[in-house]
Amino acid sequence: MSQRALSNPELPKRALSWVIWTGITALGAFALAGIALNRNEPVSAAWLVTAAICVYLISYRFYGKFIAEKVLQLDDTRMTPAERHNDGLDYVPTNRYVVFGHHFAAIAGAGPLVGPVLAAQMGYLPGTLWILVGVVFAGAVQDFVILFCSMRRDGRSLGEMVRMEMGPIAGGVALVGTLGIMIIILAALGLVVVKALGESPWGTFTVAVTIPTAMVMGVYMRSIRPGKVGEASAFGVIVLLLAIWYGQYVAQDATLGPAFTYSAPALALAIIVYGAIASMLPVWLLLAPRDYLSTFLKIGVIVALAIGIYLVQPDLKMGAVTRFTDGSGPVFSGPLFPFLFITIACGAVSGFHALISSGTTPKMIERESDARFVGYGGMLMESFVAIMALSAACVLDPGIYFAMNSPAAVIGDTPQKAAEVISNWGWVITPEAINQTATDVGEHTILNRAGGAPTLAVGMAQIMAQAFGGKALEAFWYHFAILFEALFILTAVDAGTRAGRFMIQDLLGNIYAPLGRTESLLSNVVATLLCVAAWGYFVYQGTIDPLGGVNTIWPLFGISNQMLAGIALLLATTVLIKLKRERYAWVTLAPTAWLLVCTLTAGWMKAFSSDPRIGFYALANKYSEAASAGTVLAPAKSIAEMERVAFNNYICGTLTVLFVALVLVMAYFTLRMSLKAFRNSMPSAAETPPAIREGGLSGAPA
Amino acid sequence: MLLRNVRKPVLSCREVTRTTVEECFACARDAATQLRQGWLRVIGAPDYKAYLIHHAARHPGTAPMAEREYVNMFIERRFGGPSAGRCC
Repeated sequence: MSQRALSNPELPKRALSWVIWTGITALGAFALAGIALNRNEPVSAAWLVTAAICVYLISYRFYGKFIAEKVLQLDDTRMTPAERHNDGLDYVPTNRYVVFGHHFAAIAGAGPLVGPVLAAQMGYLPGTLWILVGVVFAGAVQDFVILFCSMRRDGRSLGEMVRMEMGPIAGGVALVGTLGIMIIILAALGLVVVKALGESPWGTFTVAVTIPTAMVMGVYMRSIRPGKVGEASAFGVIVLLLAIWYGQYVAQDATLGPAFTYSAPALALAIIVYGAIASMLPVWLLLAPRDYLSTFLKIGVIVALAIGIYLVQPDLKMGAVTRFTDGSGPVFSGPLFPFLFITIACGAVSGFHALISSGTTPKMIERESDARFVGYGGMLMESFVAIMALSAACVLDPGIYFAMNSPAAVIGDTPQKAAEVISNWGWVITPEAINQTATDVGEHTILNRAGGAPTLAVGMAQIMAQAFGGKALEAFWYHFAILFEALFILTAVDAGTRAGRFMIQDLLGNIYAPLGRTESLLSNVVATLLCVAAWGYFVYQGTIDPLGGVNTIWPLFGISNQMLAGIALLLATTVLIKLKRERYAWVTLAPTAWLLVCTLTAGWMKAFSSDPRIGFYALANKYSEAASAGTVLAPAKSIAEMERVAFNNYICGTLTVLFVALVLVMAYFTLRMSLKAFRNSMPSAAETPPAIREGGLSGAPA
Repeated sequence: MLLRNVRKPVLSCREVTRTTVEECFACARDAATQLRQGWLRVIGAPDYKAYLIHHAARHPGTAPMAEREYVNMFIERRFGGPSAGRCC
């Protein structure tokens, strides 16, 4: 044996590799079996996280490698856009670990934190399985392949690539679709913040402090010490920690407390005004410094949460599968198929990532083979965040979970009524326990706080308090988690409004050229106000419509996000066929098909289901008919409210139909282009002609 | 110079041949610089030192931008363009 090992130096290495990968597979299978089959004893969240890590390692090592080598045929002798166009600003060849960090910070936002929390109503198992299967075969594949496509096209954006590969009409359709999803995302994120801060002086105060803090940082980095991000961020983090600490005294103060206590509709108006002003301020003043601050916190919190879960090893209190898989759940209505697959978008597969994978990331990749680590690996990491969010929601007492996430229309607005309804569902909870949880985290009430952020914050606070600081710090950790989410949601609102403005200008420019000029002040103001009005409408209505809110808008967000993923994967399929790699087209075609089935079924059901709890039109008709008959249906309190419910649901229904139509148009173009490319015996993808690096593989980039 | 540095794994001192105290210090300094540069790039912050090295390598004979000018331009380009840059 030793003789052969000596003659073949690869052999011991390969044997070790076998041992390691067999070990990881066995551990993963054991952990998965544990969480899937165990019904009697409580399961620790650490097993959930362990199973996920094993799945990620195996899929990265085998499926990721297969895609890199066989499907995409990454070629390290080809120069990457970063090398060709190295300008020291956008295009910079960068170490792959650094690109990974940069890419991860760009893709991971509030999405993977909210969706899994909402999906927890069906139990931890359906969500976990979809997150794991979805990321391995759809999400990570999409990010990786789109990154590859953009890298082979000088770092072009998704919209440009669709135009290049599928024609101008498809490009225009993709642009409208992207704008639609952007507006729905901003509305959903805005509502998450509003729901978290409503009637919460402590939270509102800390989030309000971030605005002047970021501005001081901005002035410091521009005028006092140019570019000293580290110093400015250290100042920012310290001020924020102090703000969280002093927030409790502000909340108790006789004058300051009421001054920071706002109702949800008032906060909705505030965030709309904020969005309009912030997105027109110079970027160095507010957007850039707060983005640095939130990136610091984002990375820190995710690491701390992972450590916390392993230190505390909390038990999952939510069942593996609850009775709400039948579609009668209070958090979102609709059966497991298709609604689980659109509720958890980010973390399993997120179309929005296609915009990042064709944005700054491809301009930093140093070697083509790095794309696997950055594209496929980066998405696995986001999925890991989603698994932790799901764990944090499932370690909560299910009674508390439902008290926080069910709309007032279902469980009422007093702890007594809520405890009664939820106990009837089978999760016994007392009004005292609900009140105690609110007191523990320093809030007046935890009822009706749908949106994921507060639930996750309570879960995180319980885990973190057990790991660091004990019960006394629970309220601190709760507000820390709220601030952490609000921080990057406000950044997303600001940056997203700007991005939406450019898209609107792009569209308006086709109708009336002066409106498309991005340097014209009037055009900028008009486009910004249009964008803010569009998402602001949904945020405001979500707070005053008795049946509206995150529970209504999130399915729309899921449908639009998965729709964008569908468009990106359709593009990827077209490109693979144009490269004459038809036999590997299933790699992108299979997830595309699954996403289209889910999106179209969900879209159809949301629009046309005759069940008013699911179908937008059915609910609108029900309220509109009752209103014309002069009867007031609970939870609406007047005919005017009834008409508002009807109107909002007509709008949501129409948007859903629009999204479905967009997907169908894109599928048509894909089919047409793919058939054409299939018949063509020569590769026809519009890649930038390859340039071979001098000195081949090992040569230093020129 | 910059490109070679960036290409290396973040913490590698392959060039070290004899382990003298000076070499160890130089190596640690090098690693610290790379970690700092990497972190700045992860969070998307301007890095004037890296820019100067890039400028000297790619555009010899021309005057580089002043630090203030570079930082302003970097931030404007990174956050002011049409790309959202951040996901949901």
